[in-house]
Amino acid sequence: MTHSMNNLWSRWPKRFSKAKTNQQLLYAHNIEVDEDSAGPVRSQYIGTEVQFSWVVGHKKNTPITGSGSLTNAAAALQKNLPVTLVLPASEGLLTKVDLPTKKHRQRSEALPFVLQSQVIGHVDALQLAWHSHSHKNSNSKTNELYVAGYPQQQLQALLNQAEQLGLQVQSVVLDAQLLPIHKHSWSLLVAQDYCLLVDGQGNSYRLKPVMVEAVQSQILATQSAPECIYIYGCEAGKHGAYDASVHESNVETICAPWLCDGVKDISKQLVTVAGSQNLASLLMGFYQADKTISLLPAPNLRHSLQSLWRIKNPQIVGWAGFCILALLGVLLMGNVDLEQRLERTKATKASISRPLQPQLGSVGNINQPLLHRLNELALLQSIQPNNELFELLNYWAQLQDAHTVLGSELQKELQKVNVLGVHFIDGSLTIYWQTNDVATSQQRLQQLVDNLNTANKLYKPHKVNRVNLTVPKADAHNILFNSTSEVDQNKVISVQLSLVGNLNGSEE
Amino acid sequence: MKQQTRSVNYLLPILVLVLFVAMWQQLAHWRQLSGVVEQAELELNQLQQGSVRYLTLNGPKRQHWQVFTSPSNLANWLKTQHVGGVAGVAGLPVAKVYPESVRLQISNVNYAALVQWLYRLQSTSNAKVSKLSLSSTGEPGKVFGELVLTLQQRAK
Repeated sequence: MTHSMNNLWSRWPKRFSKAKTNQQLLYAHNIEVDEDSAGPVRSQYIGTEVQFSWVVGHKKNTPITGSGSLTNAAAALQKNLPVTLVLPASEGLLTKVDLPTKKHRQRSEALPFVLQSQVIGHVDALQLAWHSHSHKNSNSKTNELYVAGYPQQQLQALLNQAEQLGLQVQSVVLDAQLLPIHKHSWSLLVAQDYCLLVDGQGNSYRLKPVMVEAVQSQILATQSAPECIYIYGCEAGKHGAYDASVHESNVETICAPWLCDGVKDISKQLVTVAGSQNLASLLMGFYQADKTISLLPAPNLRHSLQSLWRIKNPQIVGWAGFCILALLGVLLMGNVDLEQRLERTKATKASISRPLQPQLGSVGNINQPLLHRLNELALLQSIQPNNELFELLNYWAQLQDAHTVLGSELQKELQKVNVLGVHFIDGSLTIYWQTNDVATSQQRLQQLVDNLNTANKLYKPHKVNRVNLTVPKADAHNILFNSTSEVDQNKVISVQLSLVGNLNGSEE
Repeated sequence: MKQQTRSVNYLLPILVLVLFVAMWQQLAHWRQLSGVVEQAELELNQLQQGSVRYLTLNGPKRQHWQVFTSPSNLANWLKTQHVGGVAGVAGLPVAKVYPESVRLQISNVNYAALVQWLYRLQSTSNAKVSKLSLSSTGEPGKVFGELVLTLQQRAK
């Protein structure tokens, strides 16, 4: 037999040891539920008949432990931290069942029927929770469920009382399931008037001393003897002050002589010791949230939501709300102002667009059509006026009028004058004229051209560059006279007119 | 009192969250509206400047002035025209479209109406008479021949 004395806090899980905030555990050791009592049970937790022990802290701090009533516990525990409530497994249910299904709903429906044979009374009265544990045997795969249960009425009463006292119960677990599981070995926690036992197959028990032998026999009848028994804690109880040396030397006698009668030859290891005031600390050292079955799945979710919404400093949130409200007001006013500006802009735009739309032949936004039209107008504006043809035609008309006036004196000859055609190219206008008296017509036209060039102020800047009064020979322009075969080309004269200088009067 | 405090503890964050969402929506609306207003004011500014320039360029009176972008554009337009628009004046069939000009065949057209139409065309568009050859048909006032129109570009 070997005995070792480990530091209690060295067994705290990493999750706790690394936690920055304090953890709180509240252990109700001795609740006894009266199955026959139908009345309210909440008051029983306030009195002194139910003893609680608690612990607050983590590895870096010295833990604060205490024991007493629930009211004492509420005064000692911190209100803003969650509490893990540990209840005695003797009043609840801890068992292991094998269900083939993995679906939560089917498990929920099947579990009461499976548990009915293990529970005295109605299964429906229990608050049930479970962890699944599947493992493969050599031949088949099993789906084991570790099930925990506790009477709903008592649990609800206890939770209500805790809530009234300001405690935030985060999870509720049964004490027997907290003990560490050693494969093929047992774990044993010995208290003053009860003990917690976990056998080699992971089954948990909370036992009174009178029941130990029966349970021990039952366990040994169904499974092989353990390789070792790990013993946690030793209640000093009536032996007075705890003396480690005594326990080291005589653990069977002091701790659990009743246990050792059946397992006399099995090695036993005293892992750690604790007095009654340290039971909560011991259990907290064992507690692993992910490996224990909490009876409060729904309140956990609710608590998470509460934690999410809970505010530590309402004033800051209030000021933030006020600032947001002020900003909201400013934004609202700004948006109203912007909408008014937009309406005004649209109205002005419509008033400008309305008369332009028919001219531009478009509806809606006329910016693009207007821009296009402005480009067109600018192009037309920039084009230098080129009215040479019409200037020369005008000039010719004047020349013809003058000739007519002149011809009135020689009526007979004038009637024989006939314009055959005009040809305009490269700023030069040529008029083809048929006359009976070529020489007289040449002389008269030259005279008229000279007079017009000097006398007519309107056309003064425009000079007739050249007057070609010769009879045209066979040139390119003769095609004009193809259709008039009766024209005698010996009696045709051409007058070639072109402008010199621009319209401002300057000569080139 | 404790119940009220708890209610405030729960309701205050919700209220602040609601306000924050409302503010965020208004902020998004403000950003969108700012862009729209800015764009509208920019367009209005362009429109105002454009309308002033339109009046400066005598746009309303030059409503029917036009710019032909290419000879084919001019040729298409010419197909819809009737020289003079008076009785006895036939249309101008387009003989050929060159890369830089359009040649038209003139037959039995009233001379005065033709000259008047040419003057109006040259005054109200970028088309220019580059060549004109007319001969008398023998019928009083009627001529035939050919006309070549080119397009003027912006003066440099």
